[in-house]
Amino acid sequence: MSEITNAVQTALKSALDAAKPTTPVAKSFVTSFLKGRAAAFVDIAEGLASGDIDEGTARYLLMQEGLLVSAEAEAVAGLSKVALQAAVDAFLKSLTDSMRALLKIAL
Amino acid sequence: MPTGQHIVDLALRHLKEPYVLGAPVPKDAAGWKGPWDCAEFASWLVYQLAGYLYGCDSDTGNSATADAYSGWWARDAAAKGRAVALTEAINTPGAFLIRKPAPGMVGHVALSAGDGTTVEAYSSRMGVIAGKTSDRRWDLAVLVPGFDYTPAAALDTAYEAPGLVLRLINPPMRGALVERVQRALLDQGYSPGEPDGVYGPHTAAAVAAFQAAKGLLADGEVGINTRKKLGVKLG
Repeated sequence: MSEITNAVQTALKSALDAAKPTTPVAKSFVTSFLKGRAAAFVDIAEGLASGDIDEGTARYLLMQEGLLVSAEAEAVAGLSKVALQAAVDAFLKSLTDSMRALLKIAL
Repeated sequence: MPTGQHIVDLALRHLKEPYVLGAPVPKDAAGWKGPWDCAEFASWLVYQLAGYLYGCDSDTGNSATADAYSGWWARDAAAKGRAVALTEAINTPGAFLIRKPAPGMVGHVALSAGDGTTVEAYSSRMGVIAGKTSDRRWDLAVLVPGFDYTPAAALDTAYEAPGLVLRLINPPMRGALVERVQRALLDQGYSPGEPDGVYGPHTAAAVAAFQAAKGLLADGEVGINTRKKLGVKLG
């Protein structure tokens, strides 16, 4: 489903805008950190769209993934020395808004 | 004080040794060559290098008979040691990665080699392996006490989360994918109960039995490896 892939790309851009990484290394870190987690969001969204999982399951899994990414961002922010929490917040907000619109579910 | 790298070095000397789910391992037996179980292997490594029991039924018990379990690793990780982010753990040699067991199921414990790979007692078919940290589900990561860990100066290796993983949760997961998994299990002679599209304890138990028979990690969760073995596709 290309709309979901597009939504992830938009969310990544929002994250980079929010984090304002000042070096190529920091930009690369934010991108790889979030891309590494995007597959789960994409699979869940596509799973809901195709009926592989029901809405309750999708909502639960998306919430869990969001919590995991946020907790992870907080924990590694000191090590990565970038504003990862802002990036994650922007990423999740953008992705959630897109999925709400695309999949017509309450998130 | 031993270091996290010492744990990795010791673990690597046991690659390819045999695995038996639930096999007891005397933690004080320096020359033990298997069979291993994932949590037993991890607890044995800690005992051999630091001389204390971790992740065991009783951490003050007899080192020769103490029983290790992923659930007790999760317990000890919360109470003793330093919980760290997955990203930090996979870049830190000697950190442990833990998947908590669902009720009635087994979880998993693996050692991070610090470069995106693991050393872990994995399955009856593969024994002790060097695996990978990404594309797998982990619940928590911990640096155990009594070891000198080199701080992860650079977070070079990113964690890549797995896609959709069917597993026991409450309320249970539901959908057409669950039903396809149930039908595939039935086709292969395993009984998940009625194929109703609900991922309950019977389905998880049937998945674990299938995984054990196929030499996969028998945790009752359906990720990409188990899906492939079952011949089930997404969508």
